[in-house]
Amino acid sequence: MNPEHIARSRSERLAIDRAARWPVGVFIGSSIFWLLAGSLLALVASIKLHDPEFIADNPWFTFGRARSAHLNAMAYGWLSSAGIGIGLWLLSRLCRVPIEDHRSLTLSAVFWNFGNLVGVWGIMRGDSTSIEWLEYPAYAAPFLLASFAFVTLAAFNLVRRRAPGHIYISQWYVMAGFIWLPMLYFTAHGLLVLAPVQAPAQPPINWWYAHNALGLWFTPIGLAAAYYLIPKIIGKPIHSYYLSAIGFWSLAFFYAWNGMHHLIGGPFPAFMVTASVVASVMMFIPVITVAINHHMTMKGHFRYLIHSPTLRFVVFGAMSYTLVSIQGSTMAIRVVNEITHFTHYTVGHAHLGVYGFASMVFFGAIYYIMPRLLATEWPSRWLIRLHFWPCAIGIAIYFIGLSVGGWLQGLALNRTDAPFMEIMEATIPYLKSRSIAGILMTIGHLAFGVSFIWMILRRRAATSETGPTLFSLPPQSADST
Amino acid sequence: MLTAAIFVLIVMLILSAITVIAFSWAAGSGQFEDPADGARVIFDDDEPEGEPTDPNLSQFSETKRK
Repeated sequence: MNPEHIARSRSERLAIDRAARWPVGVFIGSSIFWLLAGSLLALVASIKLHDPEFIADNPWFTFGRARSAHLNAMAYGWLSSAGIGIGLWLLSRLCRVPIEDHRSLTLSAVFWNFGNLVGVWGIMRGDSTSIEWLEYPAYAAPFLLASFAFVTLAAFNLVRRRAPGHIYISQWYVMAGFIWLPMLYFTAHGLLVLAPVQAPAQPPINWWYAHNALGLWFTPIGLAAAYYLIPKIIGKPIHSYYLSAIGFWSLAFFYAWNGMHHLIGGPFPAFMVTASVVASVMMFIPVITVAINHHMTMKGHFRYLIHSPTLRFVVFGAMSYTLVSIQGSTMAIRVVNEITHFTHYTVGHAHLGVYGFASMVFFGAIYYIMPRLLATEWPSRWLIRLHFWPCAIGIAIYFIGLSVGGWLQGLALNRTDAPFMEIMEATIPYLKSRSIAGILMTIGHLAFGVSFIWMILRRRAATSETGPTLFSLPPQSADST
Repeated sequence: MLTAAIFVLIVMLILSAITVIAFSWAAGSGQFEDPADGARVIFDDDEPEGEPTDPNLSQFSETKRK
């Protein structure tokens, strides 16, 4: 191959990564702070469910506040900050132009973190709106909206200047997510918090928003990262690009109908709920396209999972995506929902989605992006192992514990003769398993945080002598290239 | 209530319209014409197809190791 061409594409790529260093680095760095804060809040909330006297004398840490603070710190602090950083980096790489808007993106990161800080503080001092997924008090939202406006503008600026040619599937996903989230948030915040509509109309808007935040924001960024990183790491294009296009467009056209399945059995027109059940089952289509694609791309390359930390996290996430989505479609069916609704089963499902899928993919993406932004390697493969295994085992315990416990709880609740207190007591062992899982995951997050800070402080130059930080060096090593 | 309903309707129509416009633009501008080639845009001369990127540290430096 022409060495001049190689040198040109190399310096082009290095310039793109260098330009992304500050904006993307700051968003990712702050996301890790929120991940740790959210983990501690999660532990407080989880322990209280089986041990109610834990920190019972402090109003700031009552269950209602700790649980909501946890959800919002994770959704907006951790997942959204990391999602913005990863999305901007992917977009910059795929448009093949460096990020220009450093100043507005830095401002945006400041606003985003300040908004989250005010929001979590507001929830903990008792100002929660008590609307799930939108608990941040009204005074936190302007910061978040202003911040996201800058992000969307920067994204438009990248797309406008993009190199000519094909638009890759990840670009579609990221761009769509960057348009969808601000519109969803603005609409829901406006109609539920700023100028609340009449009470019966609020739950549909609430769940339209909350479910879309998962499916039209975290999912697009997670899938964009998986669609870029898996083929990039193993050096093989995705199995069927055609299927990936079907997957994206069926998500774009039909996902927004899904939210009402949270209200099965509620006092709403039956056609609204039924339409949503149908749309939820239709989600089999995008999910199966993604599952086939990722599996067939990986086929024959599974040995890379032994070496590459990024790939291990991303593939774990992609497998969770298939599982959680199929589970979600079945949960939208009325006969299943009658059992699972209002039980811990739903909580297990939610965590398989936002943690097993989105967070794990984001971890993997961060392991790939940060060395390229800083031209530095991760300091220790042991810390990465200490991140992966407790988190993977933790989410498995979490999901299995709450699924089994929640299902039994649901069956018991449907029996009219079962005393309520006995049902509650029967869930306690499963809730304890959740706390153990939470401790494991927090250990993983601490290892991740230490790893990240150590990497920034040490800034070990990546050289051929030190080698990349992989779990183990592949037999042919880097010299074969 | 009516204002809110109209507002929601407008937002929904805008969102749907964006999707429809984006889709017809994509179809019209040939984005779906050559899926096999489209999947290869993530590779370049320096990180070509067939070469894994993770075990390859040379990509951080200006000069490629051979």
